[in-house]
Amino acid sequence: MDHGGRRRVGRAGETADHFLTAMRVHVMHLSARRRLLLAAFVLVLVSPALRDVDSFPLSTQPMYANDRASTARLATVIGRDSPGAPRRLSMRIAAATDDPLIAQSTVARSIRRGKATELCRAVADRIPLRSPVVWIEVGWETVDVVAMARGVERFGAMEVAARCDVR
Amino acid sequence: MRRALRLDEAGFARLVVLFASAYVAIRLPAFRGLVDRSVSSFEPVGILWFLRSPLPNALWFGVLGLLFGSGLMVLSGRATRAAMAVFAPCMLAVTTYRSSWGQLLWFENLLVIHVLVLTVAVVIRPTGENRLPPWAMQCCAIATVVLYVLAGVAKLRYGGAGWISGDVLAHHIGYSSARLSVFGERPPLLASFAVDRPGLLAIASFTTVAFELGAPMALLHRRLAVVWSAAMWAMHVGIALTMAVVFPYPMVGLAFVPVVAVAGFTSRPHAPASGS
Repeated sequence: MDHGGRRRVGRAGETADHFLTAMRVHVMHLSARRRLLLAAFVLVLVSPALRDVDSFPLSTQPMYANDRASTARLATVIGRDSPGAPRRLSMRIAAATDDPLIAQSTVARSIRRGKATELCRAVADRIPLRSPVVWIEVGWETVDVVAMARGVERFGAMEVAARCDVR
Repeated sequence: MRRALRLDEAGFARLVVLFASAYVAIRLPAFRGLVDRSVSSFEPVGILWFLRSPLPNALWFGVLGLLFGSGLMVLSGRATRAAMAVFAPCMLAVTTYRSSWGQLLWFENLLVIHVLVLTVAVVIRPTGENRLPPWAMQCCAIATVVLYVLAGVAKLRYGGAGWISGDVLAHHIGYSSARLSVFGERPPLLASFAVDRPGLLAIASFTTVAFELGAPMALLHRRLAVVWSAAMWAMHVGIALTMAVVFPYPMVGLAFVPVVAVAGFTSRPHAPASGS
C-alpha cells in the first residue's frame, strides 16, 4: 500500500517534470524578439489581476469567483394589483433589459444610491395600459437561494425602499 | 491529414468578424436599448473612461452602423485592411459602451481581444499578402489561455477554499436561479438537479479550477489542446444549464480554435505563414 502510494507520487512527479521540461524546451525555441513581444502581450493581459482592477476588455475575470453566501439579498421590483397581491415584473419592465445580470445590478445600484423612487417612477411608466398592476414597490427580498433552487423555500417579506402609483 | 486540419489565420479572422457582427445583430435590442437607460447609471469604463455623460443617440447608432458596414466589407473581402481598421475600434467601443452602465459583461472580453489582435495582423501584413502572420493565431491562443488562467486565479483569490469544496458554486447556482425568479422567469433547467448533488458540484468546482489554472498546458500539444478545449466547452454548457448564463464565443467553439490550431507552436520555430 505504502509502496503503491510512493509509486503514484513518483509517477506524478515524473509527469510534472516532463511538462516543465517540455515548456522550457518550447520557450527556448522562440527568438528573443518574439519571446519579448509575447511576454509583453501576456503582461498586458494579466495587468488587471496584478493591479486588482477590473475593466473591459482587460479584466480580472472574476465571474462566479466571489464567496457568495447561501442567504442572499436580492434587489427587486414588484407590482401590486388592487387587492395588494404581488405580480412579478419582467426584466424588460423592471430594468429595461433582458439580461438578469444587468437587471439585478441596475435595481440594486438604484436602491444603494438613493434613487429607488426615480427607478420606481420609470418602471411605473413602462407598465402596459391594461395591466392589473396599480402600484410598484422597489426594495430587497432575502432568501436562502439554495433552498429556493431546491423548491423548498419562496420569497418572504419585502424590505421596501420606494413605492409609487401607476398612473 | 494533420496538415489538412490546420486553420488558415485569415479564414479565422473572417469567422471571428462574422461571429462578432452576428452577435451584435442578434443582441441589437440590448445594444439599441442602452439609449433608454437612466443617465444616472452611466459609469464609463475602459477606453471610454473620459466620457462625462452617455453618447448622443445619433452617435451611438452611427457607431453601430459603422460596425455593421465595416463588418460586411470584411466578409465580402472588399478593402479588408481599411474595413478591419474600422471594425475593431467600433467593436471595442460598442462592447465597452455596453459595459459602461454599472455592470461589466465578461462574456465579451475574449471576443474583443481576438478581434483586436487579428486586426493588428491584418493592418500590418505586407501589401498583396493574403495570409496573416502565424503570430496572430498564436496571440489569440495565448489570450484564450491567459483569460482562463485569470478566471482560475480569481476563484481562488476571491472565493478561497470554499470554491474548491463546491459550496460557493452551489450558492452561485442558487443565486442565478433566484435572480431569475425575482423577475418572474423560470429557474435554469438543471439548477435544482445541481444543488441537490453537492458531491458532483465539489468535483465540478475542483475540475474547473484545475483546468483553468492548467490552461497553458493546452499550448504544448494538440491532443492536450483538444481535451482542454472540450473540458472548457463542457464547463460553459454546464453554466448555461445550471445558471442560464451563456458565454456565446466559447459556446460556439471559436474561442478555442486558436488553441487547437497552434498547440505546440513554440516547438515549430520555422513554421510557414499558413500555420503549418
